[in-house]
Amino acid sequence: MSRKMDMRRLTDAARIDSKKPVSFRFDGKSYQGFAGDTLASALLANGIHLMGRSFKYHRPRGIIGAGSEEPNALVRVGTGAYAEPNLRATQVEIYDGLVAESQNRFPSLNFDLGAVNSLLGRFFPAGFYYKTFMWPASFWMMYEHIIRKAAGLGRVADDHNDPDRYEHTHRHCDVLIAGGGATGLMAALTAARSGARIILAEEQAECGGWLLSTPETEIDGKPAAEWIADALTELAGYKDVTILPRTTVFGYMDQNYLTMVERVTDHMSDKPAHLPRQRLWKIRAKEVILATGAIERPLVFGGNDLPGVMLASAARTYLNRFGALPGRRAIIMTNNDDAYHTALALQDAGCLVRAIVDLRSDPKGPLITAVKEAGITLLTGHAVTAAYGRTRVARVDIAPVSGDASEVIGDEIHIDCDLVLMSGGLSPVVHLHSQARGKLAWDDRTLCFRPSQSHEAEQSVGAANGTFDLARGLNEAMKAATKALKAIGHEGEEIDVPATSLIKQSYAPLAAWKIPTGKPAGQGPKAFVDYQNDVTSSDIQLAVREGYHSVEHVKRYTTTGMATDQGKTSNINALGILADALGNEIPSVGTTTFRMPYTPTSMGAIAGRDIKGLFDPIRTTRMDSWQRKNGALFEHVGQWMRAWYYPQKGENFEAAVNREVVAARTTAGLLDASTLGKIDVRGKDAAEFLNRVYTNAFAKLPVGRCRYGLMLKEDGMVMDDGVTTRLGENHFHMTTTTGGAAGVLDWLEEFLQTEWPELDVYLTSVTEQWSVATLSGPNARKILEAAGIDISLDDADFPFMSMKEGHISGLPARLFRISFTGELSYEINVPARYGLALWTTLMEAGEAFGITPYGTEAMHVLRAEKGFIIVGQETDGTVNPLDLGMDWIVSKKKSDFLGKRALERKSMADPNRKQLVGLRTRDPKMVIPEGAHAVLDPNQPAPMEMLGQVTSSYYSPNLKHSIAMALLKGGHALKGQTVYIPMLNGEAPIEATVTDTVFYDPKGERLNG
Amino acid sequence: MAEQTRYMVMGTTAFDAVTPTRHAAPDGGMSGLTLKEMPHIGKISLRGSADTLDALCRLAGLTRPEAANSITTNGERHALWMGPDELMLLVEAGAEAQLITSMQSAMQDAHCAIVDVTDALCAISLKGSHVRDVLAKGCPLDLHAKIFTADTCAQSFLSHAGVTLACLDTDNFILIGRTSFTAYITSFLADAALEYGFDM
Repeated sequence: MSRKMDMRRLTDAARIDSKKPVSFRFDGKSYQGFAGDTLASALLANGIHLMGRSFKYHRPRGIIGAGSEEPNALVRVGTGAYAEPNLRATQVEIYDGLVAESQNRFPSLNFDLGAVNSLLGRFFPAGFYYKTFMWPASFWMMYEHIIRKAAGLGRVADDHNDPDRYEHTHRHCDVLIAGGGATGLMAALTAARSGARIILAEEQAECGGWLLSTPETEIDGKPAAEWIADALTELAGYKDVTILPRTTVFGYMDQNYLTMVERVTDHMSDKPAHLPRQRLWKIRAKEVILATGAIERPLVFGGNDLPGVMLASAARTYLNRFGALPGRRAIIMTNNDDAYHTALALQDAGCLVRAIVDLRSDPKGPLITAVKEAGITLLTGHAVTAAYGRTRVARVDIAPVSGDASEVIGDEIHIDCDLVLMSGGLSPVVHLHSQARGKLAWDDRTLCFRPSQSHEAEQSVGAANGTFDLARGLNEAMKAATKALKAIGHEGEEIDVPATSLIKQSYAPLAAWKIPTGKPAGQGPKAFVDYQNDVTSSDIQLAVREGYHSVEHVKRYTTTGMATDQGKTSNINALGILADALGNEIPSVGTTTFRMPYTPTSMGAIAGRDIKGLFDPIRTTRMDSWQRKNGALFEHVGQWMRAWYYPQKGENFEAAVNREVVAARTTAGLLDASTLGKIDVRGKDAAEFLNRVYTNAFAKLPVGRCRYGLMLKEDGMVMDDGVTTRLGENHFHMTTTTGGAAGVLDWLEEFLQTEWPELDVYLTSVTEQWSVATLSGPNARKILEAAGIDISLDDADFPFMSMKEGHISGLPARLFRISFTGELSYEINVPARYGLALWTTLMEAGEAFGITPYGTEAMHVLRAEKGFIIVGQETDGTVNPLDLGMDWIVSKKKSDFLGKRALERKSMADPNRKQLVGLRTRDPKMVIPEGAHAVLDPNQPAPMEMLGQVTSSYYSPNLKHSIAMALLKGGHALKGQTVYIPMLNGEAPIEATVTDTVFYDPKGERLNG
Repeated sequence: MAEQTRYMVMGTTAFDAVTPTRHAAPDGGMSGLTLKEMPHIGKISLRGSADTLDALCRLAGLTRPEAANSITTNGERHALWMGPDELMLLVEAGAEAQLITSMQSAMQDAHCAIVDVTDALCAISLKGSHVRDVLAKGCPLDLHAKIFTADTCAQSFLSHAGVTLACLDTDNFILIGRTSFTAYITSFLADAALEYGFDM
């Protein structure tokens, strides 16, 4: 270590471990810090203040704060796929091997070409984007490209496949405490002693909050550090207390549902593979205590963004917590007492405090006396009117100001310095309270918004509540915890609040939102309000002059508060300047909305494990393994994976599908139909119930018989279809479409519970209880007999649309003689455990007959040859049974069924509605693309009058020509006419004749084999 | 051949589609979660009035769980409260068929549903010191040992799969899901148990 570095490091500082040096890289250079350092503290200890370039003007920027409020020191951490931009150097803990780099600079941090924007500053006023790039509109694309490159914030990883692991977890608790500072710990101790379930989330690496920066504080007669350690030891002894460091509560939603992100391994050099990088916690808390502290405000003066200008509180943190001396010759500007502590601490550490510049003309109190006694120069009624320097502050102008600090009243003096500290009063961190729809009230004394009314079961305590005095804050925390416990029926005992020792100070700052300058407007360095978005005080004043008076408009026009820090350091100053410009008060100007997240949260943490194989479940049937072994290709049907087709060696899609389709009509095909929805319907009113949900009659369906039914929504449109079988007098087996199964059950259950509670009916989903193989084709009967069956398959004993129970090769089975192919067909249901056994049995028994397994594609072709619809393909929620030409299934006799009223509207039978028809192409080989639109005259000028769209289209190997179904306007009347399907690819329109939808075996003679 | 005989006679279970995985506990100790299929255990869905459910439970040698989300147990049999008029019975593998027959003949006229859902659902035994921590990664319910006590059950989610959780003891749960979700459920659990160690 060099001597020079020693002088910036006070190695006896409490919170770093000087025995554990840590080496890291910043912008390609190697540096050393200590365990416990943040990147910011370690760089400061190495004399590095310049950490990045700003968003718009590319101005050199350093560190402003010491925590999550930091607007300037944004860095990119990690390399390759692990790189993450825009992390606050003040929150990044260093570890051996950490690699970080500054942002927004080209080619280097010290010499940045983009800084030319700064010289052109007067041409980048508020609303610059809106004003400049309005014309010509077509140029926007070009402008944007250039601006985005120059501006923008950080750069994401080049490899977008984030290799890190992120997890989610859920927890419930009695009390969630956000913030582990003095008041958070006090609330935790109070609640823990009564046995409550507590989660305490602390954003930083360790608990203690502001106490870590003020080690001279005594609590309960002990140094602060000891009190913190004792509190944590006690809390660790309670089984139901969870203390989570490095955890940010970033979202507060209804009913005390909060989200927080824990940075589990970000600070580790060797990151264990079994731990996630970050963990997203979803918390349901009965009560919430917000002990989130306060953020010190900067002061708005020219050059207040130079590296070396920082918050007085941050300087105290670097000094006391990290032992990093941020400068050697300091100027401190303040409007309140707190900075006096910092002055004393800096002087103690050997820093020359050149002056305290107090905006107040006559500050009084023990702190002021202490500073005077320490021999520090005190300039009351003065302001730092400007700061100068290139990449580090080097000099300030100081001038006397009027009593309200609104104007300069005398001559400037100039003082050299390398550190300028600002103390503009405290802003309670009310973000979570506001996210939870809590109200805020302006406090005229402490000049801040404080929580007033809570909407959720939450209380703010300590500095977060505007109670900046430690002793009062501790008491408030204890009382809040007691109140929270009582509210949830716990024995909430008040406990003793420890005594504290601190020099008394006033927390009433002087309102000075814009530091005056003796210079004419527009001269002198820029005074920044919002560092991260490069918004100056002049931008806000200009916005007001241009007519933007609402705080929400000014925010959006100037972009103040809209950066990734969401204006943590800037919002109140912006409001103050806005209020002054409007000649108004802050409470009447109001404040903008606080939205989650409190700090930027990685997309990885939000996604959690919902990636790759766990993104969405894949459901498989019990016959899946055979299908995989035998070369099936699969398609997604909802969450199901269904066998699509079974290509044999050398076969393409068409050849395989054609072979399967032909086999089902010439010998037999076997389809896995297990995914069909199945609902067990029982009760004495089951038949009546079905009568109400289907358009056709079910009351008189005999036991053992099956009936196809169509279900409508109340609007008369087709919702689902399927075959329902009467198993007993009061017992039915309903089937639904694969995709509609869950929705239909919910729909039916809703009607039973809310509309027809008088019906005695129970519904039970049995979709997965049964595995289903559909055996279809002229040889179906022979194959069943070959497999061994104890049921007579004779037409007379077992006619079409009936059901029998028996055994196939010893497997218990229900056979439904129904057909979706138009062939002799049996849907064979067995308890799911026997699904695979049934499948292999039938394949073996059918081998001699050339049985062919077929997939969903062949099923689609086979049903289309017969003109059978698929709900969701021929229908889209706007198609009624009349449109489908299915008038035959709509009962005229039933007094009611779902959708009947709507269906009786005259417009539902309008002959000009889109109606389902068949299409036969003139060229038999031409297969129309599904979704294509048909027109009557292909030569009409665009936009053409569309008739409607093709819903299904295939090549039929049985008919040796293509077949299609389409929904065409007035389609039923178009039968026999020619329509044209224009092609997007410039080819000639496809010519087709409108036909009936049944292409194959219109008389249905093949159903009997 | 042995394999073929087994599934022809016994049938398959949903776990036949699951590739077993295991990973050691990072500290080298006991796995935080041990997952075992409970193959073919009988599952019967019951719907009916309190009186009817009382009688049906008696036929199974159980008492009706009256409190919402509670479980009653007799030996290997459990009755799970699923809703105000709905229970699920878990019985030893193979016992469901005869039990259902006797229930149906005893309940000729009563309005009720007695439905065999043995093959529709898979039951998975989850044991281990971290069973609740692992479940909490996918389940939004309060799984604290003081709240989700022994003899508590609930229908909820495990990430994207609907499941029923039944707590038999502090570190001992039965998870019931639809069979088609078995592969998803087991891979979710194995993944979620990475930090605790996993055995199946």
